Amino acid sequence: MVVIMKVRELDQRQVVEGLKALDTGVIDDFVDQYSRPLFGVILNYTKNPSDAEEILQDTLLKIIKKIETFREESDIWPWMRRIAINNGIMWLRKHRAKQDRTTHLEDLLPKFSRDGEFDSPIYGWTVDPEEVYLNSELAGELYEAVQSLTYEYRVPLVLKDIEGYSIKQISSLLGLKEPTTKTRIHRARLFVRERLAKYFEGR
Amino acid sequence: MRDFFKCQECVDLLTDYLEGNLEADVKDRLDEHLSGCAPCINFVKTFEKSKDLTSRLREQQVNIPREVQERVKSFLKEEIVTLSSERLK
Repeated sequence: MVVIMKVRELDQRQVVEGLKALDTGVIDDFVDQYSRPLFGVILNYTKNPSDAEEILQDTLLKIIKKIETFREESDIWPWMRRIAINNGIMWLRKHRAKQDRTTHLEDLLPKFSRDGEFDSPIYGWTVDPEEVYLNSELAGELYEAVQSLTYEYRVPLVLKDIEGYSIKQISSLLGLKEPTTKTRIHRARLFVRERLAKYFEGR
Repeated sequence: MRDFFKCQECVDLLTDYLEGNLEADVKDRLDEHLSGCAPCINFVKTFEKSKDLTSRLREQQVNIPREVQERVKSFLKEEIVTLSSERLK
């Protein structure tokens, strides 16, 4: 289920100093504050909760070990988020073989007649702009749609549309050719649109 | 000049279209198709909307089980002991 982010209690200075000093009290608070958003980031790369837990542990440990290299004038959250993303991708590259292969993407891509026209009518959507912010049905539906993609499609889509990486960055991170990355993002977007279309038409 | 684009060709080109990666003549032909095709106009709008909504997932997060947090804490405590003793060396 998707929920809104909670307010953090430790300020950045306390986090940085506490981690540098290996202060176990601060580290506990740091886990309370950041493990949840980091877990959310990591679940985009693996859907298996025990794998995600392993990646989370490794990510938090890396953050502690690398804290000396963090430039304190910048914001710490994007820096931590990047470590989580990189760990997620590294994990995927190692375990690719045993990853999920359950989505039948073709079943949910738009269908066309033989002369290249849409097979069924395409309706517009009315979206309340605030609706997706909250712990709403739409946000849940969207999250499920992205999660139901296989990693080959999900990861490029997440990196592009959620993390805002460029095609070039994504291709080099995932070891793909740029046209392949583009095609996967495109098809993943079509898939998500189709899932949302079903949701909008059904309500 | 070739035939007008079909809906299917428009759909195939949408990501490149929205990101401004199409050659001028291809973009013109796509615009020409879009100007007269209601299903494609709806498709483009909903495709963009879907992409915008997806990007909002960045602000959202999942719940983490309490026991996962607790296990992570004890894992880190053990690691901290190792790290601290390494520092003292």
